[in-house]
Amino acid sequence: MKALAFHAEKCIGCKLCHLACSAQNEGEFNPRLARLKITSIHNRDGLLVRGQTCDLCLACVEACPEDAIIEKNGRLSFLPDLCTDCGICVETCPPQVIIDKPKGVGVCVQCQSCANWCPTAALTFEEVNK
Amino acid sequence: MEITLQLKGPLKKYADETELFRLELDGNELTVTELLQRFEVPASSVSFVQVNGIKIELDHPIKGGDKITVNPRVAGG
Amino acid sequence: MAYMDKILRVNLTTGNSTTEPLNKEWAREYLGGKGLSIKYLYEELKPGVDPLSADNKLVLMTGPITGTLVPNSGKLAIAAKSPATGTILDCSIGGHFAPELKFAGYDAVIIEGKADKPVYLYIEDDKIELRSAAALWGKGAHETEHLLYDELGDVITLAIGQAGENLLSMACISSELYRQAGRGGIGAVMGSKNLKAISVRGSGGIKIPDIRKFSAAMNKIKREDTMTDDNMWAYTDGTPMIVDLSQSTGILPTRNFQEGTFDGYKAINSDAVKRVLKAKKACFACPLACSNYVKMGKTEVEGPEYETLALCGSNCGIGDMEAVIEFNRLCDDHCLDTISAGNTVAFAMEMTEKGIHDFGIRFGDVEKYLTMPTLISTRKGVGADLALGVKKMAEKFGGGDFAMEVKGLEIPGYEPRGSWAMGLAYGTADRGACHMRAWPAAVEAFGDIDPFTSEGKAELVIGMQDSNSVKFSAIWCDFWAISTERMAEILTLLLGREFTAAELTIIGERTYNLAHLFNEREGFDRKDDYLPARFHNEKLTTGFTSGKSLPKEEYEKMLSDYYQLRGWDENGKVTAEKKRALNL
Repeated sequence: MKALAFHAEKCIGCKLCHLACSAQNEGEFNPRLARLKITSIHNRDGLLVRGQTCDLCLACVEACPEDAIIEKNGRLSFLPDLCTDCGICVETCPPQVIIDKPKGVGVCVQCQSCANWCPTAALTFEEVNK
Repeated sequence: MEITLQLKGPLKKYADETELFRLELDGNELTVTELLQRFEVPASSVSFVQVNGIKIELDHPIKGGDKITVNPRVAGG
Repeated sequence: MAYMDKILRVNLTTGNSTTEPLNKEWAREYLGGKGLSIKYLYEELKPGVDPLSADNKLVLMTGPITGTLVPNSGKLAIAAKSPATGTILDCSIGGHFAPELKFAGYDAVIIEGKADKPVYLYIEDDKIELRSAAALWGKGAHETEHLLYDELGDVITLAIGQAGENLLSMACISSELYRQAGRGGIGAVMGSKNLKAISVRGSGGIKIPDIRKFSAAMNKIKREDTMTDDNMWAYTDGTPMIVDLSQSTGILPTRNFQEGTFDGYKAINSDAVKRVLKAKKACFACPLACSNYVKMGKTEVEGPEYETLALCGSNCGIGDMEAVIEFNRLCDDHCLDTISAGNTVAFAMEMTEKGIHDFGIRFGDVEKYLTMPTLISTRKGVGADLALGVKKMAEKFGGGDFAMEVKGLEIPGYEPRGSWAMGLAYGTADRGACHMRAWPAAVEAFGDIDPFTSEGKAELVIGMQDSNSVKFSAIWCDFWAISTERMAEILTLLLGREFTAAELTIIGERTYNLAHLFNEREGFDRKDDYLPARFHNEKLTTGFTSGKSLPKEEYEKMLSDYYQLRGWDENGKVTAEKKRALNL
């Protein structure tokens, strides 16, 4: 199965991925609504680069009590009519990339907008061991 | 004749990402412009060229042993 | 919409903050960034205001492209009346502050008055708080940012260091440790207001029509016009690439501009930076990542940029990369502008070597050199004198012929004797000697325009000044060599109304003229547009520029040509006709 992968050594911290994701999936430029989290900051120990992306671990699919998140052909789908806003998926997600919205949630659908925008191939869509 | 060619910064992509290399040239009477054409470096991508550290005009004839440094265009400072 | 249509106004004297609509008419005439911040200051500042008084204002201004997927759109303009020059001063700072401010819902922040005790400003969407900075005062900008991050979480911060607190005319504002609004003492304006830092977090977004279509168009432009041969030097090398270019064309400032080449240049060039490079780093929405994060010995920095390598390296006779990196880190932490600090130290070195006044430091003295940033920023020991900056040091101690400044702002890293238009650019820059208003070195020294003639130089410089004025108003980063046509195309797509390149050029011209009118109102005219005598009276003796000077009469000719082409009178004043034509 193919999914997003992050290569920290190539990341320049430009956040174009966050903007591309939120534009594609939420219709606005808002880095906090991106379904991935890329951090590149200087803390006391030096430069810290960290990336959290959906690697299709499917923990959310298993955790959702209402089956509102399903996986089909290597893509997650969110079914808003079934969602009860319990928040379990948001808490469960190991990379913490499910967006909690006033109504429902936002899951990464592997649209690859982020990877298409990444100028340094720090984000790629590649085979993951599942 | 043998020369050294340096394609700086982004221009190294015109030589398989090798920035600095020696090169055997056949024939004599080659200008810098003709050398750049051989590597398909667009003239519009070049700010200026140095031969042995000195800025030259592009019709400058190359001699054996020369080091040719090709600089990219740079914006801002 | 691309504009948030909201400005935050914070009065530090009363502690009150209010919001107001962005002035749409002004936004049409000046876009944002440089132009719009100057417009607000022109309208709101009283002529003759003391730059370090409560009556000066600090304007943080974004632009219409800020916070979007437009490439290289991560910059913020910070403007005030300059404590270094008394002119208008607009700086441009990268990083992530500008988009975060827009996500918080504001196009701009205008800061007025003066707090009675040190404070920092915290902006989280609609929540605006002035909080005590007692625990931060006296600390460097780096520790200040770390402490605010500890307290507030993932905010983006603008901070000042000791130099700003101590009101130095070379104090900068810092963000994300290594990014600066560098020039003209903008950090001292914050310090004079007892404002240690501004932290922002925004949870909102920017909505525009047809956002997917717009994004696709921007990705195409990013691939075909941004990440190209013209611009990728920023990624492969960054500004250190210019060291070799300047050395080979004889315009690398060396030992206080006594020479244009430096024997030790290989120790401070791009190859030397690459040997200690750990990571490339970008500002928000920038695919070019010019910044080099380096570590060497016990020190590290994002940098050193060309200006630092030139002014704090060759210009101080320092051919030692580790020393330059450490000097750079100290300047960033204390918030000293490295261009001005390097010049000031170099001036002290020459004054000492010439026996005019003993500052106890000579060219190439690494040990003393590394003590300077701390001494200067805290005004301790010899630092008390160096903290004056080059112009005031020369007034106090002499050496005026080689005091390398224009209008009180120290000179950047391009020797004008090997790039004559660069001299005109320094003389006519709106904030004193600046290389970002126009950078003709790119086409003279580094291109095929004859550097050693005054012919055609006024037109060249004016074109660059007007084009950059639009670029810094939108706000784009300098490092994308974007054409005015491309700017018009992107703004048309973004704002949904037709922009033409001609219209943008007029916005640029209007902006440059307004900045000039601000300075005119402060008493500036032709007499202030001159260069240090060294450039006219002393010939360089090494390299490509050996035997070259910039003769005074050639400079006078360029200056007169410039005023005439600008539509200004012979004394450098904007004519009534020009004001009418630009709706000023």
